[in-house]
Amino acid sequence: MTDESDHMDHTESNDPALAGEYVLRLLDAVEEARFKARLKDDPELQRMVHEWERELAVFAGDLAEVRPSKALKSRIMAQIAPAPTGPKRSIFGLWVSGAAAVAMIGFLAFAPVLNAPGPKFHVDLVSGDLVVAAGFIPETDVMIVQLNQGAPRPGRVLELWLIADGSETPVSLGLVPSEIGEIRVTIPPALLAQVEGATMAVSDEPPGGSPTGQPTGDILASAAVFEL
Amino acid sequence: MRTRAEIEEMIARIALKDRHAFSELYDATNGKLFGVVLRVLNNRAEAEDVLQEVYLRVWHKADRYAVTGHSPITWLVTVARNLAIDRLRAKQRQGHPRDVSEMSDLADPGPSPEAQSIAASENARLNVCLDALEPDRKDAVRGAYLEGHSYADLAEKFRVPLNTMRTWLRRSLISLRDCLNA
Repeated sequence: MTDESDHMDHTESNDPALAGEYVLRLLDAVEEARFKARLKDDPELQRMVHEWERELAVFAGDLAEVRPSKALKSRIMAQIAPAPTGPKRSIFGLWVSGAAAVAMIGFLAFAPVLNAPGPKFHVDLVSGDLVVAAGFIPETDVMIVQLNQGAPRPGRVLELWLIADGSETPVSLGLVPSEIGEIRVTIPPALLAQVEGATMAVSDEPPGGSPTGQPTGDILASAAVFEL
Repeated sequence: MRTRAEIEEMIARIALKDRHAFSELYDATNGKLFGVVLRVLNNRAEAEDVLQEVYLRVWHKADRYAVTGHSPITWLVTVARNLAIDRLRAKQRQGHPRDVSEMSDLADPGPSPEAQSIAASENARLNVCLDALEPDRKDAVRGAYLEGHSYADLAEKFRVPLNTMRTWLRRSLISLRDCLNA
């Protein structure tokens, strides 16, 4: 496809416009990944992005407010409820700050489970009544998978997938607990290294999980992993 | 709508895991954020899923708010819009292309009180600068922001080749930036 207006002036920095395209979400996956990589260590680029975010938010001011269903608030509040005490206590409730973690190192050797570092990456997979969360602790190669709300379909299981940044192929991370609760599993460091920037998904599968190594049932929810 | 200072206070308390502050923030902002998410997804059930993600993200990341230097509502709108577009793009990747003919018009319903409070800030310049663009180009920028249109969607909607749309948009952004910096 050609057009005579295609010839843009590339002699000046394209960064201000590129930052605008990034904020508008117009970049394709490759361009976006490249931009994000630069953004991490470039305060000037970060400033441009924040400027566009601030300025373009004016558009949102034109939108009417719309009320979600009343039930949504209680669903959300249930997600942040204090974790129950006892053996099922959520690891997210055990997060310790850097300083506290250092202070505890001596103790850690004797209580590795209770005082382990907290998750660095997290994802919430939400679809209707189903809420699955996963946390990743790179220091110990641990993944925590929680079923926080909902259940698998009758006679089926929920399987968790990782789609690394720039990849199209989901990799199975195993099954989600079938009842409300959490499991902690060790995953290979090579897999953990792909968590940053990845997308995760949960699919509906036959008992035992997908027989093919790829999702075979419905993708029930997917979301991007974020850094805590 | 609560004041900026009140919402900032709520976010500061949420960073300390104050559930009451979280509940207050939800009450003060859910209508606006649902409006943003619903505009992108055009489906209430999906929009509610995303809204849930938005508030969970706020719960986990409230301590990161200050880094952006944004007003609280700008930060919340930015988080909400990005998660909505994540979901929209994921859906498109799974083979549900958008039918732009069924998408809502970009008619401007006129500024709400909320709009006026945003517009009253330093951002009022954007409206002046947008009005300096040709109407089609302004609508394209607006469609990308509010509806999460991709270049392909915009090219189809405005019936121009993809590369032309890309060029239009980039030039519009450069004009806007020049105007905003003037």
